[in-house]
Amino acid sequence: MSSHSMWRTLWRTRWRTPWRALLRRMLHAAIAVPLVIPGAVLAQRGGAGSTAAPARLSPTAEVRRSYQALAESLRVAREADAEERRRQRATPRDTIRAGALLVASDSQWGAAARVGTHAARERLEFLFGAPRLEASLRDLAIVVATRDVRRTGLVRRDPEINAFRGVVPARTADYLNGDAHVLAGQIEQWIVVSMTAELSDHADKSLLRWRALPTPDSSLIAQVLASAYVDLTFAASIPARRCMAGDTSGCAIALGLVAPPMVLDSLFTRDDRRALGRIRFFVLHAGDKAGIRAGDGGPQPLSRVGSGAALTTPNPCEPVPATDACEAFVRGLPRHQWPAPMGNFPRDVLLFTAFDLGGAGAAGRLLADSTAPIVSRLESAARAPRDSLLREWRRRMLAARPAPMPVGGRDAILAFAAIVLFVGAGLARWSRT
Amino acid sequence: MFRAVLMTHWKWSRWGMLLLAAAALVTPMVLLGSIGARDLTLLPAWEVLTPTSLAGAAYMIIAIFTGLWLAASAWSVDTTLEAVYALTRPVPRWYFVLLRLGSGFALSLVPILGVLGGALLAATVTTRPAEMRVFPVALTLKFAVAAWLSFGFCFGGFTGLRPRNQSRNFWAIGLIPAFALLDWATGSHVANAFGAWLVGPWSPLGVYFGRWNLFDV
Repeated sequence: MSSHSMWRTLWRTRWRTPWRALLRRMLHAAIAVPLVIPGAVLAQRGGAGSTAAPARLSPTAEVRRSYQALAESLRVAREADAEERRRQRATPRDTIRAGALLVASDSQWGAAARVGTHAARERLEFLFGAPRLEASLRDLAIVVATRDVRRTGLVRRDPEINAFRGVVPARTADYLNGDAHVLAGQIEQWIVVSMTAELSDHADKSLLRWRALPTPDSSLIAQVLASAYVDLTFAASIPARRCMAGDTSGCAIALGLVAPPMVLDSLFTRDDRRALGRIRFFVLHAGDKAGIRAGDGGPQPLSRVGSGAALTTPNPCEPVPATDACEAFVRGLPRHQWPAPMGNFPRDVLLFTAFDLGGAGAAGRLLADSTAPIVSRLESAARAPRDSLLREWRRRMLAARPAPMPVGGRDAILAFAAIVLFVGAGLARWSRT
Repeated sequence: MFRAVLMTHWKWSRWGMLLLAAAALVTPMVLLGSIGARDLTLLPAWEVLTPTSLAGAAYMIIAIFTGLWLAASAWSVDTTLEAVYALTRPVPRWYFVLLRLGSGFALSLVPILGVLGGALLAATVTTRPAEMRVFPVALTLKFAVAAWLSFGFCFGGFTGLRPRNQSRNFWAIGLIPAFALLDWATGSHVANAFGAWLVGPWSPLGVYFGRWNLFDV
């Protein structure tokens, strides 16, 4: 569409909703002001008796009308906001203080919020230590269990609460009207998860580059463990295989605790290189069309990764075993396009392991010294030397091997019970005269 | 009598059964073709497990269609012809229904053997790394239970369908909006609880969930 027809279409659009009308006014003003002001100045200089004056005043009047309409719209919006704030202030809300935690809740759910808040405080203080939690939570209040989900920003509402960290999403009325015990558990979990995310967001960059703090949710930990095992198995690298075989120095390289070798052959076998070349070639070429982005810096032209072949060239790393063309392609890849020796889920498991070994204040010790190397910080958190930590991590990883093909007895019994039930129901219907 | 019912059922269902058995048989071959190698030690695990998961989904769909087809072919003629064939058999009605059920289970062995044959063939022709396992028998068992479950559901639903009074055939479908309506009216959680049960650990549909991988870590 040409720019002229696009503007014409836009101009002729039927503005129905108020915000569109507001935009229309603003568009009028933005276009009219630079056109009209010079004309208005000229008209004033030329005197009111000029014959051209009415034609030049007309756009000025249009601008004035637009501004008046805009002001009117803003006034209406301000009144609506004020009404909303009045309504919010009228909502009875309990304020709960548990250590460093300051939590506000609609009175209706205050009891559950109180239980959940105290339980969350215990878990957070155990994980991070009271001083760090206190420092992180200063001037923060968390609003839980409220029906108001329209505004989740930092809004000043009550004098004793300076800012709102967020709102527990009261997804449906059912969620809040449910069992108070369940609601308390939900609130506790939400506070723990959101505060961990908050502390993780404000952690130092070196830790964040390595891995953010994982969510301390027991149901998620089980999933993370299973995914981490798959990551370990999927890792097509020499350090990961050494790690799997029990070499803790291989684990340290695979987990990024020590700098990996800068030589491609020390990290990947010829078969690994074929696999990495296959996916890299796809990302760099076919991935462009599919919208897939390469790791660092986005998709790059082939010439920059060393081959110079045309876009229609077949993937040189497709044939098994690896060909010389594939080797040449992979060896031309820049260093930042080599994949990590292992995925990220094993790092989450390492953090959980360090927290479990370290006990009280483990996460606080991890965050304490942002200048130390990651491995030292993990040792400090776990209160254990590197090799002990990695041995325990590896034990947990291997124990988390997912159960393949689970045709459990329970599944089979339930299935046969369902068959009997349904066939019986059909039989009864058939037997009826 | 069982032989007669079995032969009739086979006659009505054979093309679908043969098609499903062929699909189950060739699925591992297609899988190996997409992997591109029989020596799996040359490949990283993810290049094997990703297409294997897709093949697992195909097995699950074949299992569901096996049950559906067996149940539909068992009763479609009787449904359209007012059960003349069924009611003229010299056996009680309940016994006839059980014969039909038995014939369905017997015929389900055709695609089940297809799964077993294809999976055993794939297990035989491939070389795998130490951390990768192959599960031809477990996959076949899972397929069998899933196919029988699907057959049981559909068989119970299709038994005694009455063409003259369609509304009586589908009353069970009305249970779902009824639960939702009950929840809406009373603030209860029947629909939620029902849904949670269906996807939970005590679900009768549990056999459909989980991994269906022929090759797995």
